[in-house]
Amino acid sequence: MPIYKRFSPLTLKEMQNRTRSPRSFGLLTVFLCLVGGVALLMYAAAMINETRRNASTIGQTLYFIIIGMQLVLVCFVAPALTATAISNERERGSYDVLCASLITPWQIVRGKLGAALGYTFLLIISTLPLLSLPLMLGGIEPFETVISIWIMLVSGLMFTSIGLFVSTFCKTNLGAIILTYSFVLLMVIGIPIFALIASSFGAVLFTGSSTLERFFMTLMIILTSLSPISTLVATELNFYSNGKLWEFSVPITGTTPLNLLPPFVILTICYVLLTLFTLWLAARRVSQADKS
Amino acid sequence: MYAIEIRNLTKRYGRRIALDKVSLSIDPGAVLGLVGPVGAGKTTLLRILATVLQPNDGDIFIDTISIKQHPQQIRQLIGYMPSTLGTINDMTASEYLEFYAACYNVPEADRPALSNDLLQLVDLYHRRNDPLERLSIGMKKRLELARTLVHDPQIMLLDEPFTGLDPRARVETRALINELRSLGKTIIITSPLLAEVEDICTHIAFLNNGKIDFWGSSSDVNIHFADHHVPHRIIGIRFLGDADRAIAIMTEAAGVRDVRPIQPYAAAMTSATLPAQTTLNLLKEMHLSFTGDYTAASNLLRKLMHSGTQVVSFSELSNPLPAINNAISSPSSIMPPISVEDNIKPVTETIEAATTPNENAHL
Repeated sequence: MPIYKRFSPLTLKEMQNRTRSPRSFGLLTVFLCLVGGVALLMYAAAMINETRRNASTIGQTLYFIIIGMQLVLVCFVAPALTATAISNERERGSYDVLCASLITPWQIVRGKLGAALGYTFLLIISTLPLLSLPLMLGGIEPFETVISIWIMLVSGLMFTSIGLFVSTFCKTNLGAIILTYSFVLLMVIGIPIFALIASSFGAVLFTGSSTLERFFMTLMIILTSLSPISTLVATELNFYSNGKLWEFSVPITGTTPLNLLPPFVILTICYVLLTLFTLWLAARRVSQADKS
Repeated sequence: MYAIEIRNLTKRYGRRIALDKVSLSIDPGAVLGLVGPVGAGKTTLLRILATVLQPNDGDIFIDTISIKQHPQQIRQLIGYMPSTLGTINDMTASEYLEFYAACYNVPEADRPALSNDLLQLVDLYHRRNDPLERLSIGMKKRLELARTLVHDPQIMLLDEPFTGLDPRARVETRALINELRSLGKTIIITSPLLAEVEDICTHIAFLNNGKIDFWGSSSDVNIHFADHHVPHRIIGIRFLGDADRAIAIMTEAAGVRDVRPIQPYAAAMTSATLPAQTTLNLLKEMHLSFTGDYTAASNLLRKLMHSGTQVVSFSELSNPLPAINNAISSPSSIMPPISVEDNIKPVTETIEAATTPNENAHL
């Protein structure tokens, strides 16, 4: 049996509609042009600049620009793909018909998520050839690239799930989009800023009590790891300072350093758990929608 | 055994009661017209039947299966067509039907043939490869009807299937429902107008403020409301000339129960700024609730013409059933009539036409 036949009819329909839509091709083209164009400009600028003739430096600069842009775009494109998934069905009046059929709430959630996730992964994978340039120039470990792509994939999963969950309880598309982006902004920017501010206070407050300081630092690292951007930065900083990707340690005043899981592992665990929770909530919302 | 048995069904939205202890039983093969004004609870009742809404109290049994206990089993038995067109524009007509066939677990090998059969049934086979956005509203409604049949349900729930259709599409949809009726399906059709459904329904239920006002066979409707002194017909008269004199003749004529001035004349009557000559040349329209026979109607017309009133048209606007429907469904949309007993009163409110224009039938 072909793999596609194992998908629910809704997943197939959503994928079909998405690939047929000219907007999907337009978005992919804009995404690639944006990332590729900026990478090309930066490469040209670095080559012209005499002081930056070092190939590995150019490679690193290019790598951070491409990965950074990709990550920001994924954070903001992925939720948009699902933010109106259910509310749109409601607005155009097809939601009741779908609910009155034999399709289960889980199939609705899986169908909507699967199609959006497929497209998000396509956006990420389509830019892989651009990453070959910094790899060839040097200064970048292949495993670094794999971790960065992994962070993007997990972020794509998390943000499409958030969009879908919000979409299940919003009556209008506009409301769903606003609320989804509020959630995403809070996670991507809000939490790291809060962690940064709290850390500076904590450093003063908990000096002298190593137990409290360790607990506080652990909490801050977990909070920082909830944002893919700060996770990527922390992973890279850790790699360049310690030369290790799988080990992460934070110095604590007057005692042994605090050893933790690397931020990208914390991000993966948190995001997978949060994704499962939001999907469960979304399925519950779909099965209970309008029934109360 | 009833095809559908509704027992003390209650649905509340916050404090508002949408359905108040509704009980109803429908025989297999019956076609029930659920008639009532906007907000009466028709769509709520249909959505509960379609298992997309849960009642607060009461239950519905379809073939003795409880809708509350076994919604998934019920979904296999019903075909639901909502009032809004939920079609997905990115698909073709045949893809649309095949998608819903898949949603009802129809084997993949059977879907293309099923889709073709249904498209032929609704006369859309020639448009099977057209994207849905290219289909007219009437075609989309027919396609929606075909969609409700993909799993061959015993019961069909059609929420306002004629709304938004042009006259031709109405005739086509009506013919299609008659065809489904001949296939032995149990059908529930909602409509705000009795005239829309009376000739295709075996039974009629009037729903008002969440309660069933009346329920019976189509023939029972006439008998029931005749006993309740509902006007037998509405006569529309358009004329030029002195309105006061014409109204006086109308109110005194045999068989006339009340006289209602209709827009724009009603508004013009309240305007003190219009000169007398302008008022005389203005086309006036009156709707009479008339219980007299054809001789009485003929006498009224003769009296009007003898009085010098220039009668432009004199026609029967409705037969008894729509008049009943208007009396029940939309009392607020009709201005309080000028009753014969009260004689002539100044008109201070606007009036809506009591019936649809295509129902005109000259006496």
